[in-house]
Amino acid sequence: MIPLRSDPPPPTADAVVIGGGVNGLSTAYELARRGLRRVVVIEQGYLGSGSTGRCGGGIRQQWTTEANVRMAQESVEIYEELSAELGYQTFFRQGGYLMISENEADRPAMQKAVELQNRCGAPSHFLEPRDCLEIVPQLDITRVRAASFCPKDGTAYPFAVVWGYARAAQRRGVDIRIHTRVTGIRAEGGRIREVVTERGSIATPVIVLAAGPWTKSLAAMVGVQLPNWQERHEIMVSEGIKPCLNPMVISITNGIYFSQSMRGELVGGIGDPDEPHWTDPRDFDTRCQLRFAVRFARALTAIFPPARPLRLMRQWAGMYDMTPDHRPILGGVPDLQGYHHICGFSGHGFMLAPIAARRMAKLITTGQPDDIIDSLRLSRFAEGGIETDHFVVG
Amino acid sequence: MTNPHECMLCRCEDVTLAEFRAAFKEGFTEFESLKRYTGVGTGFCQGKGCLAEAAVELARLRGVAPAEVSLTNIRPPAATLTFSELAALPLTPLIGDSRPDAGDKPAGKEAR
Amino acid sequence: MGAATPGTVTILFEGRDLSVREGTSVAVALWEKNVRVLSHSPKYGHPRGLYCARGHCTSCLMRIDGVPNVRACETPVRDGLRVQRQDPGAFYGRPLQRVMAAAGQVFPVGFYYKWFTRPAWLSRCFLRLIRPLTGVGRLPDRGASSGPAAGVGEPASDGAAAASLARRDLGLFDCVVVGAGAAGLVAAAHASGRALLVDDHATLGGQRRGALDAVAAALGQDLARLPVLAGAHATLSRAAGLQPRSGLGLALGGVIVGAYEPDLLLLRDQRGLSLLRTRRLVWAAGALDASGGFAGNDRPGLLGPRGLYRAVTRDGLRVEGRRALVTGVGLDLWLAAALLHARGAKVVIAPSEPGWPEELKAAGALGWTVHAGLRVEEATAGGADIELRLGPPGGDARTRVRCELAVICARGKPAYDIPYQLGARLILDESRGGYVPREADRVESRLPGGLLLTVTGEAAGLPPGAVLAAAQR
Ligand SMILES: Cc1cc2nc3c(=O)[nH]c(=O)nc-3n(C[C@H](O)[C@H](O)[C@H](O)COP(=O)(O)OP(=O)(O)OC[C@H]3O[C@@H](n4cnc5c(N)ncnc54)[C@H](O)[C@@H]3O)c2cc1C
Ligand code: FES
Repeated sequence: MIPLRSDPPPPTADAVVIGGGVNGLSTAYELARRGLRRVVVIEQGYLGSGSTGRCGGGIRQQWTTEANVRMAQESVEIYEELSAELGYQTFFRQGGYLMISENEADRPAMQKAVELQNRCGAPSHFLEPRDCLEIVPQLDITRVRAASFCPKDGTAYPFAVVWGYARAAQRRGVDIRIHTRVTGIRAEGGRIREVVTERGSIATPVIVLAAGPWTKSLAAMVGVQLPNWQERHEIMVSEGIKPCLNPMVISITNGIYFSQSMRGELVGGIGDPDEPHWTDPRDFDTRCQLRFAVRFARALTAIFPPARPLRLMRQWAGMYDMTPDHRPILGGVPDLQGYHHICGFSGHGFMLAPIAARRMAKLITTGQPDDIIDSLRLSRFAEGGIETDHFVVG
Repeated sequence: MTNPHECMLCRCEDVTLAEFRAAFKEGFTEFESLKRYTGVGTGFCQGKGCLAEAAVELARLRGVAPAEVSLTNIRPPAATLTFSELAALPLTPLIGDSRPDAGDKPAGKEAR
Repeated sequence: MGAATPGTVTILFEGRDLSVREGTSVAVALWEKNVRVLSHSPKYGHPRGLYCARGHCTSCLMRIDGVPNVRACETPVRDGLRVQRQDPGAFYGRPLQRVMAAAGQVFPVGFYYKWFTRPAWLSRCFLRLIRPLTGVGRLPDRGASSGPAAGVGEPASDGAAAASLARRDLGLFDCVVVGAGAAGLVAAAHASGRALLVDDHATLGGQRRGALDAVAAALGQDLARLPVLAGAHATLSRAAGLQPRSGLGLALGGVIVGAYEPDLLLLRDQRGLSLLRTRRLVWAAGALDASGGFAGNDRPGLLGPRGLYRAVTRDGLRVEGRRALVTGVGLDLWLAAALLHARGAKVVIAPSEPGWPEELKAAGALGWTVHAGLRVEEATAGGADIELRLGPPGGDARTRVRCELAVICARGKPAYDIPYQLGARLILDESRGGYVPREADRVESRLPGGLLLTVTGEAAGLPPGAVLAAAQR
C-alpha cells in the first residue's frame, strides 16, 4: 500500500467517494477500473474504521428474496477470484454456511428458501438435524429442528479485503485520504458541485455516498431523505485454536452466528431484539456490553458445547445500517445529477459490496440502467409493495 | 546494536521489532491498521505485553512525541473469561438503560 | 501412579508420571524439574518458559486436563493432572518454523497477503496449506471441565439457577479500590460508604510485600545495609497496618477481569465470577513487567521482577544453588537480587545505571558478583541455561553471563486496561513508563458515564520509590 495521506485533498476531482469502508473502496476501485481518472476517497478515520472493520466477514447466498440471492451469488463469483484480481490475499474460504432453526414451524420456510436459492443457481440444500453432524460433528442437534447448508458460502477477512481494494485502487490512481471528515456537500442547479472536508473542498461533478451508518446524515445535506435507521450489533472473538469448525453456523431462531477465522479464532455474534433504533449519529453508541457476552456465551455453549472451556478474548460493537425491507439502497435520485448512494445493507454489506460496487461503477460511468440497482432504488419505499428478506439475523 | 529481527515486540503473536518497522514502511502508518496487519497486541494477553512498547516505537518511526500516538483500542474483557463462566452471569440491562444520565445525551459516544 | 512421597504429587506430564513438589503451580513445578520450555511461539516456534507468573502472558500456555491454552503459572499441581505441551507447529513440524525463523528477512511481514495470490487456484491451494498452521491448541476433550480458571457451573436456565445468579451480583458500591499496595492501602483507609478493596494477592501490601518480608526475615540486621530495601519494607509494613475503616470489604485473591461502561466491574475470585457496580474507582493496580528491547528477549529463563516475586513467594520457586543474574534499574534490581540471595541463589548483579553506593558495598559483602554499568544486549539459550551478553550503553557488549535465571528489571508499565475500558482518556507518557490518564495528576476525574476515577501509585506512572514516599506521609 502507498502510505495513506491526511493532508489537504486535491481541489478538483472527477468523482469523490465518501467512506473508506468496503463499499467505498470497492466502488473507487471499480470506477478507476472503468477508466475514470482522478477518483478521490475521503475517510474520516482509518480504512475500515466503520462497520466494515467491525464485521464478521460472512458471505452467504441463503436468502429469501431473489434480489439478495442473485446479488450474493454474483458476489461469491467475484470473491472466488478476488485475491487473484487484486493481487492481495483476502482469505476468502468457502467452508459453507449452516443455517439452523430450533423451531419446527420454520421447516416449510427454510424448504421454500432452498427452492428459491436453487432456482437462482445457489447449491444449497435442506438438512435434517442429524445430517448436520456431518458438517459440524460437535453440534448439539437435540435443539435443531431444521437446517440448510450451502457449501459455496464462506468467510473472508474484512481488513484484507479493504487493504486489497485500497492497494489496487491506488495502483489505478485513486487518491485515498484518511482522517479527513466530510463536513458538507454542495449542490446547485440540480447538480452536485462540491464536497467540503475539514481539510479543504473538492470541486466534483460526481459523489458516491458509501458512508455506511453515516450515509443518512450525509444524504440529508443535499436534501435526500433516506428511510434508514441504525442498530448496535456486537461481536466477539475467542482464543485461536486449531481448525475445528469448517462452516459458519447461524441460527435463525436466536440470531447467533459463529465461524472459525483463518487465525483459528471463533468469531461470532448474536442480535439483541431490545437494541434501540437510532437515526441521529450523535446517538450512536458502540460501547461494549457485558450483556452481549453473557447472551452470546449462553447461546454458544448450548449449541456448540465444546466451546464451554474456551475463552472470549475480546468483544466490540458496530452498526447495522437498516432499511425497512432489509435490503440495500443503491443508485441515485432523479432530480440531483451526480448524486449516488450505496448503503442500507442491513448487516450484510460486506458480502454484497463487490457486486454492488461493480454495478454502481457501471451505472455511474455509462449511465446504462441496471436491473438490480433499479430494484433497489430509493423510491421503492414510496411506491409500495416492497418485499422483505426474512433471513436478516445476527 | 541489538538485532531487530531477534527482538520480540509482541510475544503472543511473534511480531519482531523488524517486522513492525517493515509494516510501517509499507504504508501502515497508523496504529489501528498496524495492529491488524502485523498482529501486534491481538494475542492471548490482548496487548498487556506489547502495546505500550509498540506505541513508543511507532512514535519514534513517525518522529512525533509519544503522546501524539493515540491509544489503540483495547476491548473488554480485561482477562480471558471462559464461555461457561460468562454464561452463568446474570443478564445486565442494555447499556443505555443503566446509565445514571440515560436521558441526557450530550454527544455521540463512538467506538474508539 | 506410584505411591507419592510426602510433600509431592504426581502429575502426568507429556504422558509420563512426574513427581513434583506439592502446593505449587504447574509452571514452577516443571521449572524445578528443569523443564524450562513450556510452550513454543506460534509463528517462529521459539521456546518459551515461565515469564510473568501472573496469568498475564502467553508463555506458559499448555493443555491441562484436556483444555487447551491453560496458563500453567496459574494452575496448582495435583495428583493425576494431565499436562501437555501444545505445539503450534505440529502440523508441518518445527523444521518449517525453524526455516521461517531463520529466514525472517526472506518472508517479509504480511507476506501471506501478497504472495501466492495469482492465479486463483494457487491462492486457494495456499489457503488450504496454511490453514492447519493457524491457532494454538486443539478443541477441548469431550467432557473436559470448564478449565481450572473457571470452576463455574452450567448456564442458568431455571429457577434454582436463578438463586445462584443473584449471588453473582454483588450490587452497587460507593468505592472500589483495586490494588492493595502502598497507594491502594492509603486510598482504602480513606474510602467511605460501602467500599471494597480488591487485590489478586492473598495478603495486603501489593506486588513487593511478600518479597520484602522474605528478604527482611532472611537478612535480619543486614537489611539495613541495603537502605533502599530497608526503607521500602518499613513503609509498606506501616501501610499494611493502616486500620481500614470498618465496613471495608476485602476481596483478596480476587482479580478485576473486566470492566464495562459506565460502572460495571467483573470480579473473579475463589467463588467464581461475579459482577458489581461502583460510583468511584481507585485504580491502584500497579505496574506490569516490561520485557526490554534486546535481541532474544523472549528466551526461557528471562523473568521480570514481579514475576520473580510471585514465583518465589506465592509458588515457593526453589532457587538454592542456582546461578541468577539480576540487571536493570530501580528498587526492583535490589529487591530481586536480595530475594534470590535470601533463597540461596548465586547472585550476579548488573546495575545499568550509576549510583547505589551503599547497596553496591552491601552486594560485595553479601558475596554477589557485580558488573556495574552494563545493560543486556542479547540473550541466547544454551540448554537449560541462558546466556546474556552485557555491555555499556553504546559500547561493545563483551561481558557474558551464563545463568539459569535472569531477572530484567526495566521500568514497570502502568496497568491501564480497566480505566480505559471505563472510558478514561489515556496518553502515552514515556516519562511515566506507559499509558496513564491525561489527568493522572488530578485527584479525581469524572468519566463520561459518571463514574469517579482516581488513578494512583505505580498505575499513575510514579516510580515505586515515590509511591512509598507518598505513603509514608
Ligand atoms: C457486528 C457486525 C457484524 C457484521 N457481520 C457481517 C457479515 O458477516 N457479513 C456481511 O456481509 N456483513 C456484515 N456486517 C455488515 C457490514 O459490516 C456492513 O454492511 C458493511 O461493512 C458496510 O460497509 P460500508 O463500506 O458500506 O460502510 P462502512 O464500513 O461503515 O464504511 C463507511 C465509512 O464512511 C466513513 N464516514 C462516515 N461519515 C463520514 C464523513 N462525514 N466523512 C468521511 N468519512 C465518513 C466511516 O468512517 C466509515 O469508515 C456486520 C456488521 C456488524 C456491525
Ligand atoms: S504480547 Fe502482544 S498481544 Fe500479548
